[in-house]
Amino acid sequence: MEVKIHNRSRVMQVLALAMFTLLVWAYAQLEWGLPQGIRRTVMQSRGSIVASDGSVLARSVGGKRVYPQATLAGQVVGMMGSTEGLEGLEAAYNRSLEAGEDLKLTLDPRTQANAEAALARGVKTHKGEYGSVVVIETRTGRVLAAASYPPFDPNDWRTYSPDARRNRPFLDVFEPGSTIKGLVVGAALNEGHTTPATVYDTPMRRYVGGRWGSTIGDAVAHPGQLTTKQVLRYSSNVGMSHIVEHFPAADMRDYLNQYGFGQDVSIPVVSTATGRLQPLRNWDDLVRATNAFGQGMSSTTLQLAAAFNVLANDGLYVSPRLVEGSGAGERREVLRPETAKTMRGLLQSVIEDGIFHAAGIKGYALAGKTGTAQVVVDSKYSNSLYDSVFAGFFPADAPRVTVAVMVHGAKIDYHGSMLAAPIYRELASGTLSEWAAAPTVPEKKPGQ
Amino acid sequence: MIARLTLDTSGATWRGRAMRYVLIYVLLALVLVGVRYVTHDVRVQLRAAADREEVLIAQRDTLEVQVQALTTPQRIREWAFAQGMRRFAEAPKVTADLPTIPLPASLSSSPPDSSNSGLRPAPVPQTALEVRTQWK
Repeated sequence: MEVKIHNRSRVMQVLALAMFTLLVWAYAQLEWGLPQGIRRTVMQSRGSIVASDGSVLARSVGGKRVYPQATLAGQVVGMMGSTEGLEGLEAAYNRSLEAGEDLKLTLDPRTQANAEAALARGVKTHKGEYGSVVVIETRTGRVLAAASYPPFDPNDWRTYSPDARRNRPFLDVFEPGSTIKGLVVGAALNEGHTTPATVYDTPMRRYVGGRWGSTIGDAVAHPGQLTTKQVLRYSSNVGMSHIVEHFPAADMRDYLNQYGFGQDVSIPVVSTATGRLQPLRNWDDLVRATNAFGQGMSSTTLQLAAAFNVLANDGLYVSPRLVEGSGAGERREVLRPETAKTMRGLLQSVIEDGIFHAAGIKGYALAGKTGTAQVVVDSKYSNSLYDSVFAGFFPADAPRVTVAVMVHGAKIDYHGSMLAAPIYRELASGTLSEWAAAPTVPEKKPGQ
Repeated sequence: MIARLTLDTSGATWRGRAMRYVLIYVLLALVLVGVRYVTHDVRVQLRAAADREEVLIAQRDTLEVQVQALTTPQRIREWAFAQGMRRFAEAPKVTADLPTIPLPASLSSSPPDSSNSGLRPAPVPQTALEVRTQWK
């Protein structure tokens, strides 16, 4: 009798051990990922991500997610985990991709490749830390390129740091510096506070802001009197402080807001940063002056491109679009068409009269504005860390695309005119060549 | 007169019926087994074909991805620059006035007019541009 009970308890022990082992195995399957069959089915039925010309940026092959274009728009596309998107559009549009729907982007692969190559060359040559470029189709707001540096290949995403995976043009915020002057002058012209020929006394330094004020200074040597056109040409902070002197703070802040600063970009589903405009209660004379040359506010490269697009697009703001069929977005008139046209002429002069060697191409009408912004480190403006910025569009007389460039932390020749402007020029050269656009601007002969 | 229905429930009748039904069932079973025997390899072949199709689809997808990976805009761009491509926008351009080239006298610029017999219109000079493109 005793032997019988002993045998039965042995059987029960073995059975219990087997069930426990099964439990451990099942838990491990859940913990380490779903059974292979399910994963394969989920992956295989997932929709593709394609560029505007139909070239595939992400698709499923043999139960695996592959990215045939490798680093091209890698940060925008993002990557897949075991069964769902982890970052970028793979995560943002996970639900519709899971349902087998394809995602068509507005990105143009050749413009994207041009932008990435120009950015990579600029950042590497000038020993920068990172950078971003955005190219927008002027009339529609379709994003043709959104490049980040360093590059990221989603096929091999585990070997990259989170920094490399960051979709910088949409997420990195920075002070846009002097590029903002083009937009503020546009607003001042629109309100009748200045004209292109208005003359201002412009010493190299000027105290602004009364009791709690500060001295602002200029970096580029210039004559003691400048017109508004020359204020842009010499990128004079002192000149800008004069131009906005009679601009009511609320109005000027509202213009910056209308340009898209300090508010969310109306681009559905995709993650973007908002940037910052100081609250109106902080806007004293000094804040108004510093905002006129892009200090004390922040923006993403995408926002900067969308804002400059207002000048290119006859004063009309169109919100950027990245996914085809995701809605028309916002449209609003910020400037009168004639003001925008005047600004295009002024910004063309900035390149042709000031930085043609850096941003101009013989025979083509390019327009834009440079910026070199000190970076805030430990609540103080650093004297060794800079953001090199450029925003512009081309062709200046009838713009088709708007471009914004930002490079952070360059060690060599960090000025906007030395680093960001040549990136813009290289991008413009590639795009104009692809359009096979004939030169339109007659070359200036000696003596002219 | 009312016909009277008689139910034949004799043993011989039941035996006859049972034999007929059994025979029909056996025949049907034989037909089914025969059909199954004749078509026994169809399913195997279908499965093999499905497997082959799966392999071929996987190969096609892999090749498509390889082609796409080898023809990315970055690679084409790098290759073109390595071959000495110069961008159109940056290439030096020269301008020149195009001389008008007179048409040969034997050719007329408009089709002959039958109503105006005897008088041929003077040949109109035509500007023709010949473009030679050179890669590199």
